[in-house]
Amino acid sequence: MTATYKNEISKLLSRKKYLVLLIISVVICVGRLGINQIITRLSGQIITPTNTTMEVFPFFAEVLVPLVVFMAVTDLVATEFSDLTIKASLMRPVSRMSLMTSKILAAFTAGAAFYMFIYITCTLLLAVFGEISAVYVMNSFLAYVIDLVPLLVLVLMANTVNMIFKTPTLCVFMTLVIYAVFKYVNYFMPALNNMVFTSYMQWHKLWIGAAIPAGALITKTGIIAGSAIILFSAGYILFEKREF
Amino acid sequence: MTVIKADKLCKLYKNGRGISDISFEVEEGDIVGLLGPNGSGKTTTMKIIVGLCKPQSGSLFIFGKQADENIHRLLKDIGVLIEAPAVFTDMTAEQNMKMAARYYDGVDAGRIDAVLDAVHLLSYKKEKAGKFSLGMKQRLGLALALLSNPKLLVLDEPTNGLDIEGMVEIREIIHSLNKKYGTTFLIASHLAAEVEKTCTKVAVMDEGKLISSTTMDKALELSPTLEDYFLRSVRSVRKDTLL
Repeated sequence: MTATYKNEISKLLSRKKYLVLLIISVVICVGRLGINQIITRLSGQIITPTNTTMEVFPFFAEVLVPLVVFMAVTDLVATEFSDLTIKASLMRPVSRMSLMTSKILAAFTAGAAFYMFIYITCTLLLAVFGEISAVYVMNSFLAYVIDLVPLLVLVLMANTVNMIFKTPTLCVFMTLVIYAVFKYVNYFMPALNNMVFTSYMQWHKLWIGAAIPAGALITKTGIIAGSAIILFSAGYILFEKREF
Repeated sequence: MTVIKADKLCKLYKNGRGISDISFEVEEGDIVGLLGPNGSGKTTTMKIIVGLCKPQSGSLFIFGKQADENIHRLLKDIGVLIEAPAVFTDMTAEQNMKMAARYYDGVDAGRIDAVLDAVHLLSYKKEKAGKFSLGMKQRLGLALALLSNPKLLVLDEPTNGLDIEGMVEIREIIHSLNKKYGTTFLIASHLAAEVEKTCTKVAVMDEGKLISSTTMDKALELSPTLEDYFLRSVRSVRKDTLL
């Protein structure tokens, strides 16, 4: 599986769009820090500098990084199905289970790399141009790491969608639609809020800060784990049945 | 040793095309040509052999092992080129080869260069595959199939898109590997002249059925050329059907 995983990473690295998205991320981090600095100065230090690393986090956790993993999964799954380059892997000594797992892990690695890159960029910017404390650094780091868990489920969801639809464009579109529906379904049906994994995209809020009863944590962890198992199994069943 | 043993393979698509009751054996060291017109089921047969699609019925043994469950393990000893070569156009020829090399032990940079040299792509190894002509992509696809020095090579229209020189070179590579390593080949083609010059055995397919199978020598004893043998085989079956 190591060979397959390395290959999937190589494929992602060969695409320039991820570099462009990294540059956009830096611009967003710099912009946010700049705005904070201006507000602090204009207010005569009444409004104190805040933790930019965590301020930008909701945008990255709920918009940009999901977009990155959706594109990564589509590049590795639907695009390969569509141009039949998937045969390059299927005609090698690798099982479909290993192949799909490698693709999922590669897309997840892309998302995780984005998280870490954003965290390091924001922390460095704060260290140079703003104010930073050890607690901020540690808490922010923990938040970024903890939120990798729902990111993995998001990758699994994108993978399953890619196994269903045929064209890459339709796959990206449908992944975004399904993500948006899951994300905002609670506005119309509040009872579903705790049932869908997309409610936990900022999962660190459950673990860092206010104490939450252990029972609730176990339930929410179960929802995340259950979603992951269902999506992985569904994706694999669809992949196993697929012919090229 | 029997390398491939297919027994009553059946795979019908929704449009009614596909293959039915395909049975044949390929012995070690054979160069078998699957000859048939477009849509006769050659590619479907090959896809089933390498696990790209599954038969609805029938059994398949490769190297004496049941293929369906073990196909990914068996692929360690099988080189495949089916339809358009599966190459990543954003990557160079060398990067494509390196990705394939990761699946095998002992395939190093030297081996990659040697295989690229054999298909005359060594001087283009740093160029992106997306800039290659159809013939060059076909050569790269062949290089990818040859990379691990497999015991069995399954090649679907390997000379597709190649010029005359290219076709002769591919034929020479096939004969050289067969002679040097005893590599077994299953080659699908609709070009009778090419199969005649390359293969030691021939199996004729038409409308999803295997209608005849013999050694090249016997086929040429029965008919002056393989083209005549093919036409004779196909017409006799179609005539029976009409009657």
